[in-house]
Amino acid sequence: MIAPLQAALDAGIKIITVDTFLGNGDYVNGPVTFPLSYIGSDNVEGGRIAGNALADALGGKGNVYIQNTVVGTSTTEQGSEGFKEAIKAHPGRQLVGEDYNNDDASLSTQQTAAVLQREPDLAGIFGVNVFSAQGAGQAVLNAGLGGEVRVIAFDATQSAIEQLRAGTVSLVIAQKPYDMGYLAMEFALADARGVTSLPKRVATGYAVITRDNVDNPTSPASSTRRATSRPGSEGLRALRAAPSQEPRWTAPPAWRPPPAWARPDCRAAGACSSP
Amino acid sequence: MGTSGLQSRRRMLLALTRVWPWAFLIVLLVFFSATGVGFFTLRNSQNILVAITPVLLMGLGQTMVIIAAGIDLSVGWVMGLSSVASAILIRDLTAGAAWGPFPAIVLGALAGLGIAALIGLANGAIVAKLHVPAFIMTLGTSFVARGAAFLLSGGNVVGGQPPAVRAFGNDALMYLVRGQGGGLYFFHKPDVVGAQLRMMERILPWPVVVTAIAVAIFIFVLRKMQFGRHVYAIGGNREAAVRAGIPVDRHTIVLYTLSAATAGLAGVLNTARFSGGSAIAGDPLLLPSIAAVIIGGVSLFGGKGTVLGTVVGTLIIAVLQTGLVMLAVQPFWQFVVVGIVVILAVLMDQMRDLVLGRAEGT
Repeated sequence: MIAPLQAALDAGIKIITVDTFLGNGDYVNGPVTFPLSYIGSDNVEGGRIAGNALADALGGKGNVYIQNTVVGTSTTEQGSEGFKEAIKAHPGRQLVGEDYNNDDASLSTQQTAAVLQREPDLAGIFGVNVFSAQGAGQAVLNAGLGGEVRVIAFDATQSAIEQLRAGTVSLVIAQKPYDMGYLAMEFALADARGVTSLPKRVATGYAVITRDNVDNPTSPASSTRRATSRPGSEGLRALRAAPSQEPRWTAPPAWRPPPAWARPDCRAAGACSSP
Repeated sequence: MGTSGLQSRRRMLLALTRVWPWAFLIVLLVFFSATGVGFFTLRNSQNILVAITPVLLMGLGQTMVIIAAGIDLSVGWVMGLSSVASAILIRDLTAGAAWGPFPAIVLGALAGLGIAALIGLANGAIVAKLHVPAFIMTLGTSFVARGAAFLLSGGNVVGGQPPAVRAFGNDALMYLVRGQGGGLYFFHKPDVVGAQLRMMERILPWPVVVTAIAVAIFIFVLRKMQFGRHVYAIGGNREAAVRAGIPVDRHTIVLYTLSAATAGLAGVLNTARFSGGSAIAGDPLLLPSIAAVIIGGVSLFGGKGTVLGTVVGTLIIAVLQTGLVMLAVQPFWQFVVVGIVVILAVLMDQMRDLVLGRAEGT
C-alpha cells in the first residue's frame, strides 16, 4: 500500500492509518514516515494480553490450546504469536496445540471436541476470532466442562458479548474501534486547522471483558458494544454530531488505562500504579 | 482360459473400485482406534456424527445433482442465507414474547428452507430452460445469495435467539449418565451438575436425527422412486433420456431445488447449533461437500453414485480430521492428507472407467 498512498500524499492528500500500519508502524524513525499518525492497537500486544488474562484466570495449573482461523491472516497470526509469547513466560502452563478451522465454527467445534478428549489437563482455549471462540465454547459446553475450561475470545462483536452472557465464552478481549475512528477524525480536522503537534502513534489499547464487568456502563464494554463491523464509521458519526470548534486536539472521552498486567513495561519494573 | 483369467481380474478390479470407500473407512477407524488416544468412544462417535451434519446435508443434494451430470456451486452461500433468514425471523417473532419459541423456530426453519428453495428453483429453471451451464449459473447465484445474506444480516452475526434454539441444536434424543444414580434418559435432558455432568453422554443429538431422516428420504428417492431412476438416466445419457420421454427439464428444476433445500436445512441447523445466523457459515463447506461426494464414488461425469457412498465419503473426511487432531498431527499435514485422499478417490473413479472401457472394447 505504500506506493499508492505515497502517490496520494504527492497529490496533496494527507494519510492517517487506522488499525493497521505501513512499514513497521514507527512513523518517527521507521522506514515509512509520511503518515500523520498510526491510531490502533497492536495485534501481537493483544495476543499477549489474551495470554496473560487467560493464564491469570485459570486457577491452578492447566494447559492451553489455540483455535486459529484461516492460515496466513496477518491479524490472527500476530494475535496467536503474542499469545504464545505470553504463555511461554508463565511456567506451569503449556501450549498443547494450535489448529486452523478455516473460519468454520462447525470445524472449530469438531477440533476442540477432539482436543478435549486428547488433553485431560486442558484448562483454557484462545479463539483468535469470534467464530473460533464460539465453536470452541460450544464444544466445551457439550462436553459438560462449562465452568472448568475457560474460553477467551478476541474481538468484542455483538455476537461475542452475547456468548459471554450465555456462558459459551468466559473472557473477551476488546479492541476499541470506536475510539480509533473518533480519534482519526479528530486528528484529520485538527491537522486541517493547522495543528502540528499530533502524536505519531496512539495505542488505543485493549479491554478485558468478563461476565462481571460487561454490564458496567463506565467499563470499556460500553464503548465496545457499539463496535460495528466497520470501525471508524461510529467515530465519523459522532464527530458530525458534535464538531470540534477549537483548533486544538482534545483528549478522547472516558478512557480507562489498561490494567497492570497489560502493561508489561511497568510490570517488569514492578512499578504499576494501578492494580 | 486366458480370457477368463483376464475377465475375473477385471471383475475384481471393478469390485475393488466399488467398495474402496467402505474399506478405506474401516481401515481408518481401526487405525485410529488402535492408537490408544481414545478414538473409539461413544462421545467421539457422537462428536463426529454431529460434525458431519452440515457437509452431509449439502452433499445429499449435491449427490443427486452430480449424478444427473450437473453441479451446484451455490450451496455454500445458500446455507449462509438460510441461516441468516431463519435467525432473523426467530429473533423478530420471539422479541417481546409475542410468539412462543416452538412455533417461532418452526416458522424460522420454514423461512430458511423457503428462501433456499427459491434460489434452487431459479437455478433449475434457468439451467433447464435457457441451457446455461450449471457451473456458471450456480456460481452466479452463489454471489446473489452471498449479497442477500450480507444485506439481511448487515454483515454481522444475527443474535437474539431464545434459549430453545440452542437447545434444539445441541440437545439429544437420549442421554446416558454413567456411574451411580445414572441411567438412560429419553427426550429430556437430565438435571445433573459437576462430575456427573462431565460423565453425561449425548446420544444422537437432534441435528444428527434430522440428518439421518434426510439421508433415509434421499436413499428412498434414489433407489425406490421412478424419479431416482430418471436421475441416473439423465446423468448417464441426457439425449437418450430426452428421447425416452423422461421430463428432463422438470426433473432438473426439482433437482436444483432439492439441492438448495438441503443447503437451507444445513443453514437452519447451523443457526440452532450456534444460536445465531451467520452468512459465512456455509462458504468453507462447499469444497469439502463436493470432495465427500467424489470420495464416496459419485462420478463427476454423471450416471453413477449412491447416497450411502456420500455418507461414507463425508465420514472419511471427518474421521481423518478428528483422528489427526487427536494424534496431535501438525495442522498443515492435515490439509495434505485430505487432499491425497481426494486424489485417490478420483484415481479409483478413473480406474473404474478404464476397466469398463477396456471391457467394452473387446
